[in-house]
Amino acid sequence: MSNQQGNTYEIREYRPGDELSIVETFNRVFTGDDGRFGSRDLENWRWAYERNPAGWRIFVALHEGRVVSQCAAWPFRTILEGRETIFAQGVDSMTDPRHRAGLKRPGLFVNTAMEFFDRYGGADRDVVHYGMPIEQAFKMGYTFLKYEVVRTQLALVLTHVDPPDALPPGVERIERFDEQARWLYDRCSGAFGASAIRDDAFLDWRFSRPGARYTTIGVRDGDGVLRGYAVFRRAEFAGQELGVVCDWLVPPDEVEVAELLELGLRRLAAEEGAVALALVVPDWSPWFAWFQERLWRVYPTSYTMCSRQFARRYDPRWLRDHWWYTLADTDIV
Amino acid sequence: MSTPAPYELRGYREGDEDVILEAFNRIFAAIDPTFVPRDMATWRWLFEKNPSGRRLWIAETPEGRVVAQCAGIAQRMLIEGGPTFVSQSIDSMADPTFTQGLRRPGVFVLTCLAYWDAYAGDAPDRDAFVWGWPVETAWRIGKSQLKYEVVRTQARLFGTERTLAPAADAAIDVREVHAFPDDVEGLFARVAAESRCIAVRDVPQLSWRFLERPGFSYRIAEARRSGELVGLVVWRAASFDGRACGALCEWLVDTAAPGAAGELLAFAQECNREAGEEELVAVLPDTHPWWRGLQDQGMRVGPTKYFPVARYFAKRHHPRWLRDNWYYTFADTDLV
Repeated sequence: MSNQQGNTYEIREYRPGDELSIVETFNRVFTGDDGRFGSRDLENWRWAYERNPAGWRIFVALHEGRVVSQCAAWPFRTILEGRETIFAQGVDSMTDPRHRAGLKRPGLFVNTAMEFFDRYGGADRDVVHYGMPIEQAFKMGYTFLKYEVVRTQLALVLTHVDPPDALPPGVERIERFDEQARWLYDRCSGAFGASAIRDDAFLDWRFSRPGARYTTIGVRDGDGVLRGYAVFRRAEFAGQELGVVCDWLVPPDEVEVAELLELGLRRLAAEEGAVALALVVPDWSPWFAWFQERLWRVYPTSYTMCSRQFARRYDPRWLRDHWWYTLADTDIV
Repeated sequence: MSTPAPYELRGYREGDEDVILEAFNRIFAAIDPTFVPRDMATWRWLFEKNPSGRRLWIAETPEGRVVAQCAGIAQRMLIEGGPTFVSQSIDSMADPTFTQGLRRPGVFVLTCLAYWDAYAGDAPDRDAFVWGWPVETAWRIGKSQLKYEVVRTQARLFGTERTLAPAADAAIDVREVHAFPDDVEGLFARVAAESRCIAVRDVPQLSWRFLERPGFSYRIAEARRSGELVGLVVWRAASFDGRACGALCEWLVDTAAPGAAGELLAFAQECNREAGEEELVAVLPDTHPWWRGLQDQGMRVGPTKYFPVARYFAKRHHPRWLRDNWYYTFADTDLV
């Protein structure tokens, strides 16, 4: 594929060895641009794409052997109305500024993305691709790639943390998940039309991100069976340094577990010097109402959850009403 | 060579109202089993008496049959301090029995495009954006053929006897009134100074919206501090998003007088009690200080099926800008 300047581009799926050039281009495109992105090293790339237990989704455009554009996603195994499928979160969309005029409108990135979606999207493949794109990427996606708005994202925020002196009795720190994570997920997911599977493989991968420090707390019953967990990280979210609840999984009728975990989160916030806590859960979830009763307040964020569906039924309206996700389903924290 | 369209696109002319209302009642009755036919008094209120003007474009066959309509509620606006207009799309319709084979775009889209040519644009005397709360069918056409975009997914603020905790302020006098006070324009000026995009609230507009609407009655309260008007609410027993509620139809309160919020909320709570309504509901932008302010008085947040969408005609007024800067309440809508 060539443009009017005679530049030739090869658009294809990722091949081992491309990663050095991908990381180099990522750092050239993003670092120092708006502060939202830090520089990326190869270890981080390998975590994101090689170690994800659900695999990877990457298409690149190359010019003279170098990656100059990328469309990529993190796939997540997802239970969708009782059957297992894949939802994939779009991440790291980029085009080297020197090649943004590459190919005629709609441009190099959109051409790369079109091949990406042709390869991975489908009712029998990735049923939904989603993400929280920056404004520029959303405009392009909306115009050329069938992105639509699932919701403008609200967050629950607790500004007066008022922590207990210690983790409440019954709350323990969890270093690694085991098969009980899936048991817990199976107890919760019946209420969700769609949700990424929380099992030990997913959770241990998701919360071992290089350069980030997560703390997981859990509550068990008398037999040692996991009844609920929350994952905490101090991080920047929506432009502020906060204690962020990266994941939350508690059966909706086990309020006593939630009460212990919420107190535990307050304690972790205090230990890590976070002046406020933030959490994202769908607004239809009983937990969205429950946290408000605990003095968490609902704030707007700069994020918009967007999707592109490959099965007509799972349009943005359906996803808004049925899809359970937390920040663990995104690359934000 | 293409054949000419079998209809004329044109603006409203005096005398059209009978045939427009007949088409409206016929088309909506066919698609909505719960539809209640509109009467002429309501039509005249919407399109003849609105002090901000009229927005109405139709497609009419040579036989005088209205086969499509693009209509809106005009709103005088202050955007970044300057006067201009917008319009809220309502009553969008195309007669499903009027077929044109494979002609694309269809009659409804062409009627909307003509409406925009007539009314919209980047100038003080034109609609800076056209917006609405679309039903699913309208949204499909709106996004694919008319460049409408989502401003936000709309959450509702709601409170019950259990959650509401309005703060009392002895320095604030609240009383129920039956007309809008002349000094509402001073209050509006102070509220507008905090918003970069807001529809004008003056006596003619508020009176039209709440006192002159056929078939509906609203309760109005004003809050004063040392005689100065610092807040105004309008309440009505209503149904929103499929549930009965007391609706805070208007919330025009100076953020520099936070005590007025608690007192006016207490008034609305009392209206709810008297009407036997369980929930008090408000719709505000989540980016406005009152979004948090009302949560501090015991309101909670829940989802709705609604999402305001907009088609903008000046690049700077894109949906993201509107999300951050546009203040609206139920008063701006035709929902309650």
